[in-house]
Amino acid sequence: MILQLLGHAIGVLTRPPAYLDPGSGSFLIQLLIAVLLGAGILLRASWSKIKNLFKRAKSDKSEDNDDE
Amino acid sequence: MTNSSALRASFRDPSGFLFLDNGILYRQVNQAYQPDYDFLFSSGLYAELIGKGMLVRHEEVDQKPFQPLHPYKVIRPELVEFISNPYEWSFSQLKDAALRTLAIQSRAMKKGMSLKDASAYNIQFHQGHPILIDTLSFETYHEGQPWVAYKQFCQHFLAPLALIAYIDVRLSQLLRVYIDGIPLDLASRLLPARTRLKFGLSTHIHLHALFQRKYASTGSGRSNQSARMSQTSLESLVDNLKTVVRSLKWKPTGTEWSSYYDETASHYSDDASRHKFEIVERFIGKIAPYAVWDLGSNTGVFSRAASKHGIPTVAFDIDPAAVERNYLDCKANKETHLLPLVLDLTNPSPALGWNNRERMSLLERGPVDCVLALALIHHLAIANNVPLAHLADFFHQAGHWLVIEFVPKQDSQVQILLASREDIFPDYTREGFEAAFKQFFNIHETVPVRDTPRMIYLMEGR
Repeated sequence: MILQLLGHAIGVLTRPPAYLDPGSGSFLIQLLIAVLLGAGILLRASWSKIKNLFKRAKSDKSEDNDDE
Repeated sequence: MTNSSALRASFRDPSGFLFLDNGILYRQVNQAYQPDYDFLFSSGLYAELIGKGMLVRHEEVDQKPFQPLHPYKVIRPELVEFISNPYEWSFSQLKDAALRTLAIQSRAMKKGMSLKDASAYNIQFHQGHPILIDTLSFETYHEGQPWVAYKQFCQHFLAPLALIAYIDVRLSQLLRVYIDGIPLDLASRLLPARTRLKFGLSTHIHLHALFQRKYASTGSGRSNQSARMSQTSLESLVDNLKTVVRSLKWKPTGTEWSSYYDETASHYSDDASRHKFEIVERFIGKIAPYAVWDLGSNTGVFSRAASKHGIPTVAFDIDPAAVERNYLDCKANKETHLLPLVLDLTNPSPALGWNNRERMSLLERGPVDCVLALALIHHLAIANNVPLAHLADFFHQAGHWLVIEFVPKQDSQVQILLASREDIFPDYTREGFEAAFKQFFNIHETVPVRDTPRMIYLMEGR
C-alpha cells in the first residue's frame, strides 16, 4: 500500500520545473511525506470505522491516536 | 589594542555571532535579525523554552558591540560547563539531543516561529540536560513554508542514529569527518536493505537522498514557490520524526570494556576499590578544583568522587558502551554535574572545520583545573607504546592538578597486557614514572592502594 502510494507520488514529481535549487529535494520530500502521513491518518481512521462496524456496543473506544 | 575576539565557530549566520571580551562571552545580535529576535520574546517562546530548560538563558547587556556595523543588541548567554561535539556523545546523548531539537521545533511552531538551524553543534549538555545554545536559531514561521532545517536535522541526527542502531556504534565517528552531518546518500548506501521497509527511514533517509540527487541537477534559482505545506502537515512531519527517532535503539553488547568493572571485581576486593575512592575523594577535597576531567573514566565510578560534590566533571572514555551506561546512570539518578563523553586518548578530538578553527580540539577546550588518570597509564604506556615523558607532557597540557594512578608491571592487569607481547618497557617502573613526571609536576603526595601494588599520586603542574 505504502509502496504504491510512494510510486504514485514519485510519478507525479518526476518532472520538476527547471528552477529548483539543490535544496529542493529536501523541500519536496517533506511535501511527499506530509501527503503520505495525511493519507495514513485517513486510512487508519477509515479502518477503525470499518472495524467498528464489526464491533458491537463498544462505541467509546476510538483508535485515532496515530502516535505514541 | 583590544581584548576582544570573535569566536571562530560563529561566522556563518548573518543574524549575529559570539565574541569574547576580557574573557566574557557575548553574542552580538545584528539589525538584520531584529524582527525575529523581538518576536522570540513577544511571542512568549523565549520565556516558555527557558521555563522548560530547553534554551540557554541570556541577559541583554550594555556592552560595546564587537562589530559596530549594524548591531542591534549585545547579549550575554549563560555558560555551559563544557563544549562537547556530537561525535563525542554516546547513542542516547545524540538521541536525546535529537528529541530536544524536535521538541523545541514543535513549541516554536505553536508560537509562530521555526528553527532555521538543526545543527547538533547547537545542542550542548548543561546540568545533565540537552539545551539549545544558539538563541539566534529561530525565525518567524510563515504558513506554507517547509522546514528549512529538515535536511540538516536528518544529516546531523537521524542518519547517525540509524547507522548506529542498524550497523555499528563506531559509525558515529562519521560526524567527525562530515562536519555538517552525514550525507544522506552515504547513509542510504550504508544502511541495510530492511530499513527500506520502515516507513520513517525509507522516506526521511532513502527517498530523501533520492530526491536530493534527482533535483540537484535541475538548474539554479530560488526554491519552488509552489512548494507549500500547511502548518498541520509540518507538525505531523515533526511528530513523525519524533516517532522515528524514538524507535531507534542501541544496546551496548560485546564491546571491549562494558563489563570491565564486573571482570576486575574479581581481581580487586571491594575494600581496595573503596580505598581508592577514598584516596581520590580526599585529594579532590584538598585541591577543591573548579572543574575536573576524568580521562579513561569507564562508567564514571571515580568521576563521582568529584561530581557528587558539585564539581563539574567530564568523564571521558574510549568505549561508547561505558559512556552510554554512564550517561543512562546520570539520567536515572538525575546527576547534574557529570558529563560522560566518548574520547580516544590516543587520537583525541582534533580542531576541525573551516580554517581548522570551527570546532576546538580537546586541548583547546582546556586546560582544566584537575585531571584524573586512574587505571589508565598502563594502557597508554604499554598497550600504545607512549613514552612516560610524553604522557607527563600531555597531562601537563590538559590540567593544572593531576591525580594519577601508577599501575606497576606486577599488577595483574599489566600482566595481561604484557602476556601477548614482548616487554620493551624497561623504564616502566615506579622510579621511571616519577622521574618522567617530575619534569612537569611537583609530587605532593603518594598513597598506596590497599591490597594492590598500585600507587595514587597527587601532583601539581610546574
